[in-house]
Amino acid sequence: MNYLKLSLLSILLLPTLVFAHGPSRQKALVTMEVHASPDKVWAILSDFCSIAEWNTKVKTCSASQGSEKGSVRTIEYDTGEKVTEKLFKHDSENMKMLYAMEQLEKGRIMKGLPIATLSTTIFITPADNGASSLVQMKGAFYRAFPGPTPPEDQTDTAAVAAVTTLYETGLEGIKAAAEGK
Amino acid sequence: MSVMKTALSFLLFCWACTLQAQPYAYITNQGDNSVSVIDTEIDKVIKTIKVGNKPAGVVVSNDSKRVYISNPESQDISVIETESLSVIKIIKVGGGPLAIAISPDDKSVYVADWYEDNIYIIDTNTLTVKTKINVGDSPSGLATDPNGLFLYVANRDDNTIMIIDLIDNTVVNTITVGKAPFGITVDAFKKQLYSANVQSGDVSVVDLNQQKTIKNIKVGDFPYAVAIDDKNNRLFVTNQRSSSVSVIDRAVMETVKEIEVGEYPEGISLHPDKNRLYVANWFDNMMSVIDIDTLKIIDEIETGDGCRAYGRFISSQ
Repeated sequence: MNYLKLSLLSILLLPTLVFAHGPSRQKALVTMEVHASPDKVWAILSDFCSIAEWNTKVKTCSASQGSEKGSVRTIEYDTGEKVTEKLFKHDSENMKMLYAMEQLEKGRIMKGLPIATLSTTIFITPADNGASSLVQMKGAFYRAFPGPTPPEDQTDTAAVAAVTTLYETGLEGIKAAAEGK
Repeated sequence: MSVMKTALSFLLFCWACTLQAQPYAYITNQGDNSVSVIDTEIDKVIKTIKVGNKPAGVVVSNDSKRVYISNPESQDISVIETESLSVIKIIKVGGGPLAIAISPDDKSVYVADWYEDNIYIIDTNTLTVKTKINVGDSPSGLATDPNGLFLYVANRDDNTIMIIDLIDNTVVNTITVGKAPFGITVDAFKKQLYSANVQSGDVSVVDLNQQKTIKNIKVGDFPYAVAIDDKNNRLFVTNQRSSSVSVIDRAVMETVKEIEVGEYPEGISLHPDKNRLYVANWFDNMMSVIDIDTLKIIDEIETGDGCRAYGRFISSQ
């Protein structure tokens, strides 16, 4: 009886107490083999704003300081949603970039991309003795919905699926550009 | 013959002593709701223990007999007995337990609840919460001092360190540090506290005699936790976004090197042999082992999904 009361109470308290600071960080990882040399692939993606050319989900991009570390780009998705992303790492030697979306204002839920933060690493490793490339995108992010019971299109699972699709679309674009198709 | 005998008994003795002296590392795996137990003698996972939901924080008792794990999403603490490597008790605490620390005499465990802004004090004899202390906004880091007189709390969203007098459980001072302090570590001999400040990308050095911040040292992006290396007078700091460990030389109070590790490094602990440093890489589900003299990575150990190991995660024996 007491136990029941207690669990009822905790259910009532959940929304305000437990999720005041948000849910757990999620991961996404997509790898694609591109039949082109790492140099050629890096040339395609290393410009911080080239994303508008290789990711069809991105309509426009403008960057404050080009591809310098610290540069902030504003991108507009095909949904009309706009976000800013900061470049944290641009390492030509290891063909690696790391950028992160600036945290969305509280309560904002983007169409088709139900996340509040996103940091992305994109890097190339040579395959096939350098004739081919493995391009990987790794994302760490939180879903945007703050409460314990998100609608189906805003759950952790939905967020992981949306980021995975975003990466897949980008990598397909890179592959098409590099392979000349 | 007698030389042989002596040599043999010496060998046997040493074999026995290495068997005993093999510290274990207890790694919380956020994604798998488990703890990976690593035998640091061979740097391999020897057992995986199921714990609560999304485990994050960890502290090994000073006598190495128990490990306390914080589970933010099931809002409880799993108590592991190291002899049997099994969970002997689950203690319910409020809201969102994350950081966890233990008193030098092993009698009290401190848990920071960053949703409800409380510190819970658990009596390790009865394994129940005996008291709670209200602190600042989003307490995320905890450290004890070796005398057991004070508890230090990093309030992430207040940009402060609070000092709690453990005799009467009251806040005696609040010190401003960099932006969004997370992991904190105390050096009892130098009378200094170090806080990794996530948003300002630096480490604050707090002089505990003067009770003020004397320097903010730039490190990588999104620093998370700090480990002290007495032998070489250095600090090691995990940088989540830079996927690196910053090395601070305490003689000059500057970052002197950055070591690339896996993605999203979080927990960091020095091995009791004072030669190796263990870093949990959340994204890559693996530990990096660094030689602290050469500052090179000497091993990588696969763990469960989303290893965090936030706290003192290696036993002393």
